[in-house]
Amino acid sequence: MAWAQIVPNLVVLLPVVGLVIVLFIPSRQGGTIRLIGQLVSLVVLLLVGILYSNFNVISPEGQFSSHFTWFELSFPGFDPATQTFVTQSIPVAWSMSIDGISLALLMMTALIIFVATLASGYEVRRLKTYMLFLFLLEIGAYGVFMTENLIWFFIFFEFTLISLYFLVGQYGGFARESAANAYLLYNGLGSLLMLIAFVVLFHATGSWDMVVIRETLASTPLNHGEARFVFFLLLIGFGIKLPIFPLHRWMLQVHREASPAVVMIHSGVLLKMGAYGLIRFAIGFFPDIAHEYAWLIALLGLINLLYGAFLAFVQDELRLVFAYSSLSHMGIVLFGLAALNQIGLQGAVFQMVSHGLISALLFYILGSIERRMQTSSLKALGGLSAAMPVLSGTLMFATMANLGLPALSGFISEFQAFLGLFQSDRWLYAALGLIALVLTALYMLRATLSLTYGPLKVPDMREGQGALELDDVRPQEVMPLVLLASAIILIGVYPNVLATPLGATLGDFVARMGGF
Amino acid sequence: MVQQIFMLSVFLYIAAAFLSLVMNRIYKVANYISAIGTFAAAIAGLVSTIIVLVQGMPFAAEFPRFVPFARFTIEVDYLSAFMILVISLIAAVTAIFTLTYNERYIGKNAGIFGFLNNIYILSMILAVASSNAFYFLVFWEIMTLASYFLVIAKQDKEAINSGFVYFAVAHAAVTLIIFSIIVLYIYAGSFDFSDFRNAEIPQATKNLIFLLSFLGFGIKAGIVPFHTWLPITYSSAPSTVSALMSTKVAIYGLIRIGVDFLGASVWWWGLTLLAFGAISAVVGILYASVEKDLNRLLAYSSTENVGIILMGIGVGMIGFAVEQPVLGTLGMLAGLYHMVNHAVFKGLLFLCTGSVIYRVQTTNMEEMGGLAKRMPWTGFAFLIGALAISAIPPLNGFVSEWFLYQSLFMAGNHSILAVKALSPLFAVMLALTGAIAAMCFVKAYGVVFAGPSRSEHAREAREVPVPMIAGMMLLVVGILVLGLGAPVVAPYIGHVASSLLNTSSPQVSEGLTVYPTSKTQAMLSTPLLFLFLMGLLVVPLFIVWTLRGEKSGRRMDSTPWATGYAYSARMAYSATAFSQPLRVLFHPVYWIRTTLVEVGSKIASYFRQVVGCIDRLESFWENTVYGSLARGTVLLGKRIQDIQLGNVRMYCLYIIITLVILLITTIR
Repeated sequence: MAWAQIVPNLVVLLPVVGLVIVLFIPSRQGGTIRLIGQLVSLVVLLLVGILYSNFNVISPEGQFSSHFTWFELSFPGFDPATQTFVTQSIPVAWSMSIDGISLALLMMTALIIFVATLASGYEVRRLKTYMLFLFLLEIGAYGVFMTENLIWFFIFFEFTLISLYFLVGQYGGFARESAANAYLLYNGLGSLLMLIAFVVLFHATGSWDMVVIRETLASTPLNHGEARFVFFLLLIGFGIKLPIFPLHRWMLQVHREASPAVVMIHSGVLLKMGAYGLIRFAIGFFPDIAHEYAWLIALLGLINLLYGAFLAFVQDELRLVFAYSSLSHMGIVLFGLAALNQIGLQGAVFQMVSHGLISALLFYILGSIERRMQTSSLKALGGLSAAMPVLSGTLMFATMANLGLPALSGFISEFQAFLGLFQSDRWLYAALGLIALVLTALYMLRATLSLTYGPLKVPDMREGQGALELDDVRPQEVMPLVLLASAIILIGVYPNVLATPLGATLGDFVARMGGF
Repeated sequence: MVQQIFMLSVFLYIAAAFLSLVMNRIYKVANYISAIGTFAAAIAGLVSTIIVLVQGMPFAAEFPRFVPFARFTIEVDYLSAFMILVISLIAAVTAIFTLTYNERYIGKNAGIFGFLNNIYILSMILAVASSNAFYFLVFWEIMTLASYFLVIAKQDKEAINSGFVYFAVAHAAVTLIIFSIIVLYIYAGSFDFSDFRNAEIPQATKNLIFLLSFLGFGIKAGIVPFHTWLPITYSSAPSTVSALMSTKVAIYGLIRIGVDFLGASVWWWGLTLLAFGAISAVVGILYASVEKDLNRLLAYSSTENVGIILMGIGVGMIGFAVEQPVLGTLGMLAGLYHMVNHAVFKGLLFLCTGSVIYRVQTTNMEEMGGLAKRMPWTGFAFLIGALAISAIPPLNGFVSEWFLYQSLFMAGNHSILAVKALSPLFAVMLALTGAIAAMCFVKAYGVVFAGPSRSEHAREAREVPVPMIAGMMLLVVGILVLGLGAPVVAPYIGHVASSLLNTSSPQVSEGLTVYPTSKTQAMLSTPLLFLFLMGLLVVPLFIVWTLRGEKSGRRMDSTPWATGYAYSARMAYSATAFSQPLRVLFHPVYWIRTTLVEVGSKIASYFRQVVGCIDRLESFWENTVYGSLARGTVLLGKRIQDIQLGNVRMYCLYIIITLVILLITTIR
């Protein structure tokens, strides 16, 4: 299986190749540029498929590992044995490996990015720049889920940060610049906190390697205060990305202003990086602190869940309904994390994947509707099912998935997360969180029904705004819808497609936390 | 063998669902495929469950796991078989009915309707058949959503609004049910029903589980005070869907959890059911009797009948709790018997309503009238249904209520003081319910089918097509079988009841009579009663016929004498007029609001002063309780939004404050 080790590297390398190729293509050849973008993400999707089919589901270890020393960091360190200062050289390595959690998220990421490149047909203005930033974003998004090295994790994380800043700031609605600024401000702060935490970790363990850090912390733990400090740094740093309740403002702005393809990646993939960081670092490194503050995570989850649901209920714009819905569904991820048992964590990962797919589908449909109607305002639109039955039907499908219809991915994910939390001591939060499930159903149906049912209602167009198009689903829109919908059905009907590769990894993870 | 027939039925539902969806373009074909498929599947379901019930061979099956933490198992025991029987019966009849009904009512969406309808029926059947709580929830949820889409089949604003209310309420119910099942799961360690039965659960937790499931299933069944969604939903749902909803699968869930899993361990559970049941019965029928919308009238009457069913199950639970299996079985028998009866006669009444709407195109009773002459078959069917629902012997409604009375009398002999004291009261409330129900349905039949026609549509109404008549007649036969055949039917239902606690099934019938486990208490023979009543009808006719003279037997066809004035349809008793005494008598219950309105200027110009007055019946619950709940939710959403200042600087401040607090707590 030695050949398979190269695959994770290829996954990150391909966007780089694509980026270089696109650099040399004149920007007027939009079609070629778009084609290259789509090809690259398709090949990545296939590569991830290869990874999945070769994945050893019994092993909890990271697989397909590759490890090269990049450079050595030399600095004076104090050696307690000899009581002298010595020059230590710590390698910073390019190391990639994939375990169950990475694989699940990688599959979702590859699928969403492929669909998003298909959806980028909506962008016509400055396509070359757009595609370049998209490639950068891809490098970051794939890399984050695969790397085992904290420095590289940080670098990949920053890739997504910077590229999304430009994608939001240059392509989107009227207030896109302020949205991009808010985004950068919040997430820059988040990255900073994360970096501080990483440096403290490095200082304490003398390594940048996740596995080494984890094992060192398990054998010689930090003292309680320090551990708590790092834990909270990580919680806030990744909490901004997730986002957790008081830190969510930027996310709404991005959802409202960015172009649909960007929001698909943002909502589908980038939010999950926050949750991934929480699992890997905050909980993975500090299981004791996580146990101590699980109530806090559950509480934050509950607030997210209810707050998002309540606000989604009163929005007048479809985009904002979906944005608050994302916020609410991230609360369920937090619930799964707070459970700290296998079924809860599995629910959290399931919910990350499932919400990624559903959110991408919702925003793809939203993009299609906005492109036709120039707005997503619930007051201006209505009765679309008469004009575009297939698109409305798919929207209804996505709504059903989002509100947790059995046999679709949302149900199984939410169920596992709730079940996990119910089994822990923090079941009260889960009980209260059930209210949000009712609200979810209500706000989703309210929005979708007012958009699709009833007599046809279209917005009044002013001069120079472009023409309304009332056609149903177009040939190029079929594949993204079918791909996402079938992934949602597949996970819903046969959850083992995810649960099997996750099982060993999470089992090991929970065993290390001393749970069950 | 039984299992194969059952699986065949499941397969047929699925096939019918997807075939009709595929054929959606050719909607007439889709309608036929869907209806025939449903009918065939329902017959297969009926055959398999009848074998289970009559030959006493429950079966179980296990399928491959879909999810890691729950086994996919079904187990059709007596209770499940009984429920599937009820559902299949109504499914078969409504399938015939939809053949022509859908052409007008659903039209071009017949394929989608057929798909949803089959999925709805199938998910109901699988929900009651599955023996794993996770799959029970899955099918329950599918059932809720499928029925939601059926409710909004008309797709007008009213339908969408009522669908919304229905879905919100159903989802709230599901939430409570999920809660109760997860608590059970935590104690049992798996989702298997068999583990639920054997779980060691502390009494306080049992109480919690029971109350949660009672609330959840109670909301879904539509008991007072959670009944307001019923009239809203039924008033815009297609009649066949309303008929299917009358099977009241929620009661199954309540019995499964309360009696089967928790063993009805405390007597006050039963008393709670009994009390809520009695109140639901009285309040439901009071509201029903002042309605002038036929669908809403039937909906309120559903609340009444759910109340009666709950009373039976309540008595049963008391019996089980105090270890009096005879009382327990008898109460449960009454509840289950009334459940199948309700499905049959309420199904029939909804189908009749569907037929009336099919021709008259309104649900307002004031615009009907005189339909018996133009739609004799529908009129006859409605009459039978009305007689049955008013518990007139020897029809089926009477039999189950008779069993309920008997069980209440028996509970009155019991040692627990509260039960002893309250049972007679509940019996009186049941009697009151019966009396008002009779009045209510006299009104319904009278205003709709008798008297003069009050609208153009009603004057031009014709009898409905044959498939619809056939559907109704099948249910008329059902009523007669369940009523006159009580001595045959009752032991089987008694067997279902006794199987819940593994007691031996009591003797409840012999020859042509039924009796409540001992002949000394009371006896009832519906066949003899029927012969007697027929005799009362036939003997006078025979006498008249043999002694007929020259002048007798001739009927004059003329308008009624109206004290010298020309007769007008406006002189006829209207629905509102008929129920006026009740409205006066039960004024506080009804929450009547009188509003003064401006009268149009045209009339007002002729008089010095004109005051218009409108008496409006407002549901206390709808406006005061649920209305403010809904408004509160929206208000809360809007208020929370204000916390967000939308100012990035403020948020930075929040973050810095958090960080400072964090640092302070870290330094010791």
